[in-house]
Amino acid sequence: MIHKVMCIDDDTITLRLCQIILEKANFCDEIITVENGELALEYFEIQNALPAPQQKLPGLIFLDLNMPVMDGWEFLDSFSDKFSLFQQEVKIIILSSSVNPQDKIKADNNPNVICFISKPLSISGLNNLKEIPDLRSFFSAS
Amino acid sequence: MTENKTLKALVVEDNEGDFFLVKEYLREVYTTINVSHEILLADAIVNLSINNYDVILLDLTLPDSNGMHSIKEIIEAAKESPVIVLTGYADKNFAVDSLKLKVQDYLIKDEVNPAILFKSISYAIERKSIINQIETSEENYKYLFDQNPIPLFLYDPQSFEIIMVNESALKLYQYERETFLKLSILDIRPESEKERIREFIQKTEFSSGILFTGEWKHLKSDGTLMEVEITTHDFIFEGRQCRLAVINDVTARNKARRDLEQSEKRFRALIENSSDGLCVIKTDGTVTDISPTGRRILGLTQYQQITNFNYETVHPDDIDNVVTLFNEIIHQPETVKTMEFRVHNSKKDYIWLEVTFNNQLAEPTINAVVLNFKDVSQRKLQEQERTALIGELVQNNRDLKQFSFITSHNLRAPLTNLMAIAELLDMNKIKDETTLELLKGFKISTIQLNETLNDLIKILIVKENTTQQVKNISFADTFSTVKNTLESVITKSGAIITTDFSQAPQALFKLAYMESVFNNLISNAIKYAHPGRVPEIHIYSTFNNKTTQLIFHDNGSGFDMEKVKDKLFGLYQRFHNNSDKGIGLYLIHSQITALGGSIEAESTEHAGTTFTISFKNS
Repeated sequence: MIHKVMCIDDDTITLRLCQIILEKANFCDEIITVENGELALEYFEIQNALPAPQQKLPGLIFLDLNMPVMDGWEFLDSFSDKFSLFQQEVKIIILSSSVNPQDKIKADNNPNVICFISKPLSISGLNNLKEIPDLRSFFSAS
Repeated sequence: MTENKTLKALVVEDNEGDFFLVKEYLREVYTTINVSHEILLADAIVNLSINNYDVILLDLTLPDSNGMHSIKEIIEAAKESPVIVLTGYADKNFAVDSLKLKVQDYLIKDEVNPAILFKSISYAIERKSIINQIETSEENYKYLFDQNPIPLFLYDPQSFEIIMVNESALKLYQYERETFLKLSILDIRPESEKERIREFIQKTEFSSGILFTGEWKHLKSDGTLMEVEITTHDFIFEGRQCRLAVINDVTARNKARRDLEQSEKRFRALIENSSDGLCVIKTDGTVTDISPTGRRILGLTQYQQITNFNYETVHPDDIDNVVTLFNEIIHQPETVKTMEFRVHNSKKDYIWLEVTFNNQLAEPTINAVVLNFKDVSQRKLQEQERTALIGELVQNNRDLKQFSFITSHNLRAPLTNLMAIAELLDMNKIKDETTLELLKGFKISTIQLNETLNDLIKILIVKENTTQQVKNISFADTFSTVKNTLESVITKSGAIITTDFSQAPQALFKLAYMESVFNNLISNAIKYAHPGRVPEIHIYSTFNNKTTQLIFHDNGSGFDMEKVKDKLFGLYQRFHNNSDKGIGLYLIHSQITALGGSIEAESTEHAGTTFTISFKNS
């Protein structure tokens, strides 16, 4: 199980549904939800200010693409710019309702993104994620 | 009188006394004499054939001849030697006649004395020498006339009779000499010219000057008309007024001239009526000539001069290209190059010209660059409009596509939430019957909405024609994949599916599209199976005429081709009452045509349907 998962999405209903599904799928212990990329960056800045032992970093981020204020792509750029130290620890999955094939290609080409999945998040979808190489280690104990 | 003079004479005289007398007279007046004597005419002729004499003295009465006969024979034999007749009686008439026979003189024997004889001989010798000279000269002239390469004939300007003609003229007029000499000068002319020559001859005075009479039409013996220039020269010939006509056949020359004029005229007409403008330019850019069409294109009036194609006339954006091309042209003989550029017309508006430059510097009659040009402003304008329109359309299309993606995304965002909610709803916890029913309806509607949206997105993605690579896709492998996916449907229907891909095992296509084709056509065949009949599907491939075809044949319920023909592969067309969204055929049609292939259907109601897919090769 992943200790902490962050969901970045401007749609609060989506965030709430993610929460329910993540819990039902026993995917993580704790869920952090933020409504856009900027708020997510603020979170990481706060963590960055803390001494390392007190930092609470998510093991995985579900990132939406189309968001106001700061969209998913801008977040990815800023995150790798400012918090390259966190990159090893924090994995990112794009969770989008975009149907533009260009978005999928762009996600696949971004080294910091482990995969692109289409909304909605489902229990079966999460179970599949547990099997992928990048995440398998979190669930091997259970 | 007794100077040192020698005379060699032949005396033909049968009377010995007369001979002796003559000889004595001669001896008196000449220092040296060499006198031969013949009695018979025949002997005299033999003698003359061997010897030459200064003079021959002939008595008319000889034993073997007399009178005229003697004179003729002796003169013939004497050739260039003068002959003087000695006669015993005075016969004036005969004397005159003998003179006509070229006898130099006649002397009456009784009247002869040494002085008279000497005088007569001296004159005879002198005169004969002059005559000889004249004869030689006449012969020369005759030779000159006959052998002259210029056609010549001689005619009488009073009677128009032709008197003499040379070989060259006979050849020209194509006549035999005898025939030609029977003609009058009217006979060698066409009717239309006869009056003219009559008048001309009437007006022309007889004079010995050389006269150029101009051009005339003459006829050959076969009636062929020819054009001749005639120069005449009048003179007296054998006591007759004669006119020598010198003929110069100018038919060929005139024809060549007329042809040239004609060709020039035609060339002019071509230039003047051509829809292209023509313009001749020297290497320094000076315009030396411009055609009427050229003037019209440039809007020049008839008298307005254009002097230069230069920096003032050519558009500043084009001038460098024009100068570069022009310099290239003038350094490469006989090259032809075309370019389009803008020039001012007379109203100072710019017009687009398509100009062909033709280097004719090596052609001595031109020695310039010939420009062939037409006004293509209209075409240019249309091209520009079309380019702008295409740009606009491309942009519109891009915008619409973007709009579709955004719309789909915006629709999908809340829909995905609905889908998640539908999945999470625990129906067991709902106790109220109506609410439960409503929620079931909500669930079904949500799923339908999701499927519809997904179908539309699939189409959008096909049209976008992205990412997946075109490669050789195995029919058997694809069938096997799709069969697994559809396993439950196939088993439930009891369908029997047979395949034969031996003729053509593969085709160039996209994997996902190929799966879509198999998936849709197999599920359709099962979905529209004939009620009460086990569905049988035969899938096979063929290769002929360099085309690979994939054929799906079923024994389903089929449809009336007449009714559905145009709509079969359309969006949201349904021909059966089954619950079907009718998108499958539209989708595979889009996928196949997007890759340059085609799909055709044949169907008979209650019998079955055959779909034939032709793949684009290479």
